[in-house]
Amino acid sequence: MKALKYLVLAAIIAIPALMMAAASTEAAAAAKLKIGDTAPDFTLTDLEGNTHTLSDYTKAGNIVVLEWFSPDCPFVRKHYRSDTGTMTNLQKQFADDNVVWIRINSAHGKHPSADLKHNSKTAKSWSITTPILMDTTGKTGKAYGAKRTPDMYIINPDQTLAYHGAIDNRSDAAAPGDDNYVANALAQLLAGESVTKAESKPYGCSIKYD
Amino acid sequence: MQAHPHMIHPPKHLILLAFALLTVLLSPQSPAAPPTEPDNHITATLQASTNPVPGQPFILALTLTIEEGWHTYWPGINDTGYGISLTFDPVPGLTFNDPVFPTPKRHIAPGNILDHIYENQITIYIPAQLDDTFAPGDQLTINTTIDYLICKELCIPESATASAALKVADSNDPNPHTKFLAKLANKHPTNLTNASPRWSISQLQLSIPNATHYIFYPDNNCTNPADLITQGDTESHALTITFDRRYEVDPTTPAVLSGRLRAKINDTWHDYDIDYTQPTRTETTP
Repeated sequence: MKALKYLVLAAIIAIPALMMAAASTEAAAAAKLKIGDTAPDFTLTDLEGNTHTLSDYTKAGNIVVLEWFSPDCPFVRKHYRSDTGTMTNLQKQFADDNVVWIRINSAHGKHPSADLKHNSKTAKSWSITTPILMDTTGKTGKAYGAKRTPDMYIINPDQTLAYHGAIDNRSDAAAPGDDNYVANALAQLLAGESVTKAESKPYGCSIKYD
Repeated sequence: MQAHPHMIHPPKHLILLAFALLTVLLSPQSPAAPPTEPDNHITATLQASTNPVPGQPFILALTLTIEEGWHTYWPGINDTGYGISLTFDPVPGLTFNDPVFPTPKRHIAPGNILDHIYENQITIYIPAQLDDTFAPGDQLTINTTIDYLICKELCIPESATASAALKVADSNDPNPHTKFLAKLANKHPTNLTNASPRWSISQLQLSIPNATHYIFYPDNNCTNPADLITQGDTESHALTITFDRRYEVDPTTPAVLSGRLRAKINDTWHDYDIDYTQPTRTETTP
């Protein structure tokens, strides 16, 4: 009986400690992802139920752009308006250069932004023709340390991180900036050059993690 | 190594605030504007500390009432969102100084997302001054536009307006709003004069005598803190902030620690506006 008491007591002490340790390890892992690090591999499902694995794209020799996405965030929306089209135009501009553009939605499953029909409808109205991957557990988002929408990552064909940060230099929700960091980085990578501005401070809405 | 602390808002502003407090503590009310934009999640009203007197400072109070469950953002460093911004319609002869925002609340969301937010109701103080071109009896209307991001489940950029219609008074009849001034006296942050800043290459350690708990809210002039979740709220005898210079064009420029500091001293919380700049090498060489 006494042993059982000690066991319960030990569990009471250990479980929160282990949970805290796990959380801090996760945070530390995310914080450690730096330019040149190997980007965490993931397999996620798109709106049609197809799975996509990052390493399948990189092993095929592609540069991969990851855009953390929300159909409801005004900072995302400003880049998809008919008068701006920042994201879709940029995607088209580099589509012939083995650049694959993947959108990831890490909102938790009960959040309105994670509704599949809502995302499909938005994709159609925003002329998004490539997959939006659902990360409702937030595991992939947290592994990258993504905090905002949009939060941009560029992955080299060797799966190392080439760029992380904002899409551009204007951090309000009104209009795109006049210096697109992702366009600059892609142009430099395709020219075989190193990326001059490999990190910038992302801006946007918070990702609604569970 | 000693820094050279000075206030975010030049001392002139404090003088304006102090002057307004001392000179107008005696009677009724200045007019307030009604709420605007019925679909907004924030309503705004603008009041003055007194009917303004030519050549003398006064204070405007912009009160934002935030719909229950929603929040908006401190105009400083946040992981997400953007801060409240104010634009006053220009009035010849009337000058507005930097607004003084209330101390926000730290909001940590899953994914280590730290924002500094406002909920419920806040009041922003704006020191102002009329020049001598105005005469007692003149009518004066002050209009301001407030731009903000308001969030709950979703975020919405909104814009609100507020106005105050004032009658210029003479120095014997400023018609002050005493309730307003009492509130201001309680809430306004003060200058920090007795702190001991210690700089190293990448961080600043700040200690205030008898302080046991610090919470720091960086403004937009502050060098990006590396780990504000851990370091920005600390029960300790010193505040230590490490800087993250990755995003800067020139990370060799002196770091700056500026923003609002809340410190618990002898079990009482005090709010300070702080602005410390890292000494240059020549300053630190003995």
